[in-house]
Amino acid sequence: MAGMLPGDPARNLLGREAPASQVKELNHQLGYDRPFVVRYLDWLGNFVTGDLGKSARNYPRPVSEDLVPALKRSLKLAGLALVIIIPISIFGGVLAALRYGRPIDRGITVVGLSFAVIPEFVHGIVLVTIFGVGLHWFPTTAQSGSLDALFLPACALALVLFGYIARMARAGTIEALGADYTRTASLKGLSRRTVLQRHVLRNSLLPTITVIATQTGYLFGGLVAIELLFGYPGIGSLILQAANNKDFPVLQSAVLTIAILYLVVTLMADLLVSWLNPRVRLTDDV
Amino acid sequence: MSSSDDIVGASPVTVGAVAPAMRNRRRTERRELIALLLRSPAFMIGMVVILFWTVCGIFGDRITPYRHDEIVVEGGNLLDPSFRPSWEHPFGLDNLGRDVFSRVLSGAGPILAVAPLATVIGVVCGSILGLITGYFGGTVDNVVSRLIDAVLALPLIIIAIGVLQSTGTSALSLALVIGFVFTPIVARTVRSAVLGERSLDYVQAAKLRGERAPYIMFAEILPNVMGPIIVEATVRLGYAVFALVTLAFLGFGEVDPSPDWGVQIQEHYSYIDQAWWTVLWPALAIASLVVALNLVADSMQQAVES
Amino acid sequence: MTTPERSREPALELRDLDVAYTVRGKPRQVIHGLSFDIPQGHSYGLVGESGCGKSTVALATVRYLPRNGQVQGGSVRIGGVDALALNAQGLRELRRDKVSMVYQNPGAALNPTLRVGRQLGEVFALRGASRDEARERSIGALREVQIADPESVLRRYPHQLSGGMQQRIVIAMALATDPQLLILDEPTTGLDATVEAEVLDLISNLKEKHHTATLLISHNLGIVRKMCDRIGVLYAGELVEDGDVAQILGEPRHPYTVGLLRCIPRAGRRKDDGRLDTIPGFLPELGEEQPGCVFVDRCALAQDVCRTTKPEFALVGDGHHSKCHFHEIAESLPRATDERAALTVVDRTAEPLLQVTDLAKTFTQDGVAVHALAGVSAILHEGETLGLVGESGSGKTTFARTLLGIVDPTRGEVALDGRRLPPTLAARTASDIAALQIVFQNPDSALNRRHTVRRLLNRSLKKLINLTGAAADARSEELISSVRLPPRALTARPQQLSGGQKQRVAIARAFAGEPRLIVCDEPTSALDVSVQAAILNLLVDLQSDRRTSYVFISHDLGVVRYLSDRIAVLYLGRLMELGYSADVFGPPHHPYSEALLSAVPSIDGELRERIVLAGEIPSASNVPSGCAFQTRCPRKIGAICETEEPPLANVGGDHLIRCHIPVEELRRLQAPAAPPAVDSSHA
Repeated sequence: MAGMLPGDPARNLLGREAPASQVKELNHQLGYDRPFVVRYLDWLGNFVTGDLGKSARNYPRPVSEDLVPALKRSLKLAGLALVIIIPISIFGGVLAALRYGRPIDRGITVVGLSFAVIPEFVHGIVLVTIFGVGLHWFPTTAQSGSLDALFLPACALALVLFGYIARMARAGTIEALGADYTRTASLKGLSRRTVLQRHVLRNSLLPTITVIATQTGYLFGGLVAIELLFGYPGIGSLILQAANNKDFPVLQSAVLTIAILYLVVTLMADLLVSWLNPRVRLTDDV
Repeated sequence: MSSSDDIVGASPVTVGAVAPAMRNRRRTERRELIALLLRSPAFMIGMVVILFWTVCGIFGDRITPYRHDEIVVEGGNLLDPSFRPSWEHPFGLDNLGRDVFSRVLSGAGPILAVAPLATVIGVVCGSILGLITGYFGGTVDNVVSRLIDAVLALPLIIIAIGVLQSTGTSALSLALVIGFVFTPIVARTVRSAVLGERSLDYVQAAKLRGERAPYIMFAEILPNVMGPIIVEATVRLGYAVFALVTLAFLGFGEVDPSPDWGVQIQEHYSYIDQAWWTVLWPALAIASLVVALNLVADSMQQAVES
Repeated sequence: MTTPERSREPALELRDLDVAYTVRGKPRQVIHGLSFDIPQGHSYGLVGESGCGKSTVALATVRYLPRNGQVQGGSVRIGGVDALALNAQGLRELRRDKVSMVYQNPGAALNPTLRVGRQLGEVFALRGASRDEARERSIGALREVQIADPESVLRRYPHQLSGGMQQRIVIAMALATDPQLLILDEPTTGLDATVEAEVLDLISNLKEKHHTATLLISHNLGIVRKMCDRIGVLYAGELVEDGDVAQILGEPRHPYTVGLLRCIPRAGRRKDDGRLDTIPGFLPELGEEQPGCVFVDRCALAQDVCRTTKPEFALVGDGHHSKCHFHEIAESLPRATDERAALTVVDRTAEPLLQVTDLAKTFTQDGVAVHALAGVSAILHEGETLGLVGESGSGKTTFARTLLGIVDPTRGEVALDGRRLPPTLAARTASDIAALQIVFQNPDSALNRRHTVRRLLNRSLKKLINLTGAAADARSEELISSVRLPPRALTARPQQLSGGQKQRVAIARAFAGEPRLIVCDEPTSALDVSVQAAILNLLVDLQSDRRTSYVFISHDLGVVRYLSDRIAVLYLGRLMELGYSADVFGPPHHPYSEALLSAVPSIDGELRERIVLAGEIPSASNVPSGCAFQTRCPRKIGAICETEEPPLANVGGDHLIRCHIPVEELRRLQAPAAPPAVDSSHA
């Protein structure tokens, strides 16, 4: 995929003045004169075994040397964002559902959806201006990697997710509140709390899990802009640099890593939901 | 159990006893819908903001105090006190000495030129794809859905970066890339709406007239899914703006001296500590536009649902 | 179980109850001044058509109205306790101890993520039982509702059980606390006839045993007759008549009740006996203020006083109330539709219109073969109506679909006018397609809501008989008037029409291409009784005019009997009996037909002992060996039923029965004086 991008890797490395024969020789050495499909499959095979190849920009530096630490840093940031936002979103969504139609419901819904549409870096700038430059509560760059420095970027990432997760939690809870089985439970004489915990929430949170998983896709996308804004050397920054430098091995590996991560997360969510939903887990055996 | 508005009763044996309530119901329903929208504060606020930016976008330099590329103060830099926000320059000056207020106002133009185009491309292609996969189901649906899943596994920004690398960042290529990236998302929404319609009997009835697939898809099903499509289009418009400014921020937008908000931020974000005004106002402008678009989309969806 | 301490107060006492819903900002009254009593241990049936507010009464009684509903006046006393004045705690106790509810769709009423044992045990835990005690009592409760192997059912999740089982569990939960009042809101809608009969019997027995008062809400008068002592008729939120059930159904004293009873085909009435009566007009708009009688716009006996003064809910007999100024003459209500029958003479000597030979269809679902249809043959003459009867899994829908070409059969063929039809729709010519049309059950789903009626009809005209332009417009106008709708209807969209009007449009559309045969797939099941009567009359009239044949599918045996000339009884994809309606509905007939007929409660009371069928309907993927019915047949004669499938034998006069028992023996066994069939042992 990235290997289709035009630009001559060897030429990029050696510079414009290098003689053509040298360029050709290096291209051959790097394997860039082989047909595209062969190159791609070869690389894919290597990727699976952990050999990510070598950076074309900083040849012969192996890709993994940059990618793995960058990935770790990004996971730390993304993890912090999720930890912050998941409980808040679910709580917000359920609260909105319980106060359906009332101002607080409209408030949470509108605020949530508004935040979801605002680009992460815009959130970042506003947060930094207020809490960083204005109040000096947090540093304005995240290079140190400390939790303190990561807080603002994590919030910037997290705010975008709030809207969708809260909306799904809300929708699921509303549906469960109106369902016949909730009516049955209430009419048994159960306390409101028991009805909520045992009957409503068990059913309403299932679809929310799926949404959380799909939102991680947006999370990874947001990393690119946020890491740039806060100067954080994560995998997002790596991708941006690699694209600008036409460093295809790095770019390819980084992009594929993200794709795999996303697929793994959604797969785990699917499995979790199937396991929790008896209708899927157990087949009819009457 | 909500109250039922349906008038169910014996049909008249003699001709002419059809309930007079029949005709009026439709007109009042549409009027009620519009009235509902007009009463919704979210809708009104959103429309006002959108109209404001549209006017700014159309008239650009003709209504701003300074031209967007006009250098007001020569040879200064951001640390000069004169560059800070003042009565003369309420939003301050940027690193090249240009009036930020004027640039923010004209910044709507480039964005509102490309975003609708990208949206239309994405919605049209996505709807057709959604109709086809939703109607035919089976292998076609399976294969295309898997492809869509694969494409959507990658964050859209990353795909966009990848493609724009090679194609360059003209308005057209931006519109095409964003439109392309939207297509699978819209296709998914349309597909599920189509699946809902396909199980209804009027589709069977059409087949029992000998209707062919294209007729059923476009003349029978499409009118019934226009509602969700329109709502999705308004949502996509918001995200088109989102994508455009993010790409601009990452360096894949139009070039200076374009007043595109994302470009402005891209040029100044490293100065945020010293010159916060160069990035905060464009950021707030972005926020206002996308939130306004979203409010309108949301209130339309609410009105249609109730 | 001993009868617990009960107060002498009525189980339920409603006085002047007013309930309103807030719709689009305005409160609209749904229930007006409702008053009735249910003494301890008695049962009361509340009947009415859709929109009358009967479910609202139930929800108001337990104070579970939706967010936009409120009780505006009146009182509700359950076992002497003022339900409306209770605080949250009191309400919980009321629901826990005194009143329980059972309603339709038992699958939805059970929490899909909790095991049955947990949900049932909750009820006992509320009363202070420990985990083990709750489990013991749950097992006891399940046994009481005749669930075999309760321990294993406790471990299951609701979706793993059949509809009948689910409803039993809901009933067990409801009766576990020994309430004074049991409210049943359409408890058997959606269940098969034989399963329904068993559930109703169960409810009857349990309410006897526990001395529970019941409020049964239903649109089905037969069920109410069977289950209730007294009945109340609800129209547009007002109780117009109430009293002893036999009296009201036999000698009604309100024009609405009179009209309603005349709409229903009773006592074996057939189309040749005359048209059904209808109730003209429409329900009043929701929340409209009525200074006079609520029924005035539709009542042929109405006078000026009816418009100006609301009638009293007066006592007109022993415990019999009626809300009518002219209740004495209610039964003389003039007919809205004349009684003259529209007759179609069927020429059975001519070549049959339709010949179906050995039609079969097997689906594969998740790797399992489902034998939806297992070789059905039938013939149909011009102008004849063939009724298809059967419960779920019978294959009647599959039969209709294969006939029409929507589904292609695994084997067998369909011939029209002696000419073999290609199995799939795509291979058939336009004239073949025009010859076989359908009217669907749900008119909302069958008409494209974005198209006007004119467009719907013109399109059919164009595709089926290639008629366009002015000629098509003229023909559309003809079609619309043939289904008795005004020309104005042509410019309407489906949302602007009522259910009955939509179905008329669907019928007009079916007739557009001058079809030879129309499949009517439960065409009136989604409609109210009064609307149904008009649609049935229309179908009969159109048939008499155009000599179109019908294949009529319905689960309502009274309606099938009314409309059909010949009837086919299907069970698990097999034809069990085929004959003239009189032959199929009376002895000698197939044991399944016999059981089915006895399962359907009649408005006129039970004429015979009910035959109980053992077990549930087997799944179509697991058809029993030999005769498909042998696992439940009360007249099973022995091993031969298990090993050999009986042939379809002609027992005389075009009457076919698939049973090993010789017809003479059947005649003897099923004679009215003979002892009833014995319950077969559980399979």
